[in-house]
Amino acid sequence: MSSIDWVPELAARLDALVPLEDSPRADWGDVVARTGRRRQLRLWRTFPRRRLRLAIVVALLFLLLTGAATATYLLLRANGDIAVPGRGKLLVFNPNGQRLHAIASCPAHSPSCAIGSPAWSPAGTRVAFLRGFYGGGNAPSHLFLYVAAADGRGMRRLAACGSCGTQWGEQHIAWSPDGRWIAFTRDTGTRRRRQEALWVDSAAGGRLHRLTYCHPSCADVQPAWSPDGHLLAFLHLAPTSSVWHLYTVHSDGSGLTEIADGAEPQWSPDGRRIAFDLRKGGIEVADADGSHVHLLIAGKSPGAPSWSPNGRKLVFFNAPGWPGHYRAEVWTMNADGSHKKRLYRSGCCVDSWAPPIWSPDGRMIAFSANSARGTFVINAEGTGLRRLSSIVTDSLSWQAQPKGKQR
Amino acid sequence: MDEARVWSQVESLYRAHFSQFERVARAIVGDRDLALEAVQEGFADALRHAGEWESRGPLEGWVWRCVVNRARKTRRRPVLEMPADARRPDDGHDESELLARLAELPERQRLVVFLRYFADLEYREIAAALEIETGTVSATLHAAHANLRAGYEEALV
Repeated sequence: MSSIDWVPELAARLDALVPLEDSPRADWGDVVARTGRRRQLRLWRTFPRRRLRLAIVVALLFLLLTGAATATYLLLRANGDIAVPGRGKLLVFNPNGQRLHAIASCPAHSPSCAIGSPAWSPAGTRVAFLRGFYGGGNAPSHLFLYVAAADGRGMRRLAACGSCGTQWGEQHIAWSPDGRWIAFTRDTGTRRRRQEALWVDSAAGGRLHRLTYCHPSCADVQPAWSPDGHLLAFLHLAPTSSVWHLYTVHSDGSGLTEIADGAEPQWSPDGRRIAFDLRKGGIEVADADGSHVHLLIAGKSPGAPSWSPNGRKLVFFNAPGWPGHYRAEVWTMNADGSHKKRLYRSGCCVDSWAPPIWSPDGRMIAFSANSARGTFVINAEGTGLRRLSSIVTDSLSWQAQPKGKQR
Repeated sequence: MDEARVWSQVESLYRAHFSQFERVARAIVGDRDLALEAVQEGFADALRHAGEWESRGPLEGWVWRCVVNRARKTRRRPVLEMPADARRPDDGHDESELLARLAELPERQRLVVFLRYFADLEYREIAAALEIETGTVSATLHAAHANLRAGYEEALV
């Protein structure tokens, strides 16, 4: 230290002016107390700022992921699994495409066996389906109605039903809204005299009884139970007639009423109206008593309508093109026929498909088509198309999430 | 440097150099109790703003800045008055001339003198404490010596 930096004489004088004292008055606790951060001090010491930042980032990421998971859970909570029959099995997929398990399957080395027409019970706890030999050409079908729990356990054969109406459309099994009964077409006639009437059996089995009668040769097919459980709508076919007749009947077999000419009846969720296909093509809607028939869409190919769960929209299948060159399309429209919107269009050519169905929460739609090369789910507004499976099927069923079941 | 470590080092400074801090504060404020208050609050300021210190300059200089600033705010009477508890030198010299010259110094020169002689700080630490350049410390101290020289030289006569 140079003399310029330190002047001893000055230092001595200053020392005399302000002498150095001992420090008995030092009190570090008082300093800390003045900051008001005694607790935080401990926290900082045990949790340095860099680590805290990392912890905050991790926590935010965790919240983000859990939030996304929660949103996904809430989105899918009302939606159960989708039953997809094909390749000798009845498979179950969840809406994001994950294959879960097989509810039922045909015996090995039994190529003539097939499974189809799945229908989840209203509560989503059981599934009914047809299993057996599907005929072709002149070969008659020998099918059986089965019921199994959602996980495939407790599979039970309820009744033999012959062709079970499978040669007529895709709508073969109808659960009563209370889940106690199952309506289906049962073939009890001969090859010459078809006797395909509607029958009802208890979902637990053992209470099979006939609901409709048709003589001498007819078919009552495509049953649809009204939401209040009082009526069944169905298609009555008279092979000698070129007209499709839609009827309703009380669940005890009384009150048979013809309501319209059409097929594939679909009850609106409020039970007041029925949408149906026209034989010439197009979709109509009528009140449950057959009045106020209203054409929703005309054309040769639109058909297979399905009501959204809130009853505001309908989804339907369309196959524009010409013979041998049809494309598969999925459309939605308002319940009054307005605001038609195409959600999906496949390439050429469709000849096997499953009618589009709504998810129980009304946010998604599932469909299948060979021209699309599989079974798909798409958001109701037309976004988010995703393939569930490469299986092409002719019938799908979307499970309502059973109460109390945690996904 | 994380805040916890800054806290730890500030505490070490306090425990090791409390006397120097208190002495400089006493020189600035001219009162023992006020000096203690300035030191305590100065260190509390340093802790409150520990997160703002980003290893720029010596930590000691930064803490000194907190204490000096707090002392300057605390000061209630001009420093030209002899501290009430200051001991009279026993060599018989009258320090009034030195005190008068100290009081007449510009504040920066006076603070540099205090930090240099009462706290024995290096130039860079003084620079950090007063937020000036190191070269400025040297020049300021040189000027202070020149201004004070008459005072202490006369006192030595």
